[in-house]
Amino acid sequence: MKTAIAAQNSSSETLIDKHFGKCSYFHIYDDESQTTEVIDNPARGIKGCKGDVIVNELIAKNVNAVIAGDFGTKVQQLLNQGQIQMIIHPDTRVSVSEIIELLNHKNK
Amino acid sequence: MSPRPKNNRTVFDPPKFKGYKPFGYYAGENEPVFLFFEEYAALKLCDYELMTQSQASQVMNISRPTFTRLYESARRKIALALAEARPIEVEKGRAYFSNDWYNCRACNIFFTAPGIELSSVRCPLCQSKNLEEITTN
Repeated sequence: MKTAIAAQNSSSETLIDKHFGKCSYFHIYDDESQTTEVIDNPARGIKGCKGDVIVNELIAKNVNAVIAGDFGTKVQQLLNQGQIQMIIHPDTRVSVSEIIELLNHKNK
Repeated sequence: MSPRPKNNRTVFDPPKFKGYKPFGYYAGENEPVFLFFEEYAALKLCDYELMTQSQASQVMNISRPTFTRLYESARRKIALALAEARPIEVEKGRAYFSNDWYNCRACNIFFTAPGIELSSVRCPLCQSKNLEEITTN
């Protein structure tokens, strides 16, 4: 299962972003191979509705779940259609590496 | 004649709080103001996501005039709470969630579980089953 985490920059110690569409990077964690792939937000620089660009990119990468501080209304509709699990983490002082550690525990 | 039943208002994400309390107010606790989920959603769509009222009414599946009334009621309740130093509590009202949300009581996150049966839903981070369901019914 692959989980995309919305992050503020590309290092693994960075904090998660409080807004899904406006984040700079996505850290895509694969819990089978335990590897993380960092991609740029494909919609960075686009003004206005960014949701469809991001969701198509994540579907192409077979992502099953996304984590962010909050999701916009339009992107929630798209993620619903794509059957992608949304996880709202209201505490945005948590780092990407801490989330990955938590996701790791569920395999044990 | 009985009044026409109200249509459900579609709400996307649940509010991330149970309520708000005034601080620095020591005259004992006042009666809370009950803010409905759909009123919170109307305020968020208009003033946080900066949609126009007609866009927001389409998102919530209600007519534009109904949305305006809902938005006005949200503003009035919040103004009442601020002016009279009353706590705010959120309540479900006539909100209809477009998908089922769960709240993990252990790590306080909200998540959806598309395609997973209710009995086997677990918190994706801590695997706890101590969940609160925030659903339509």
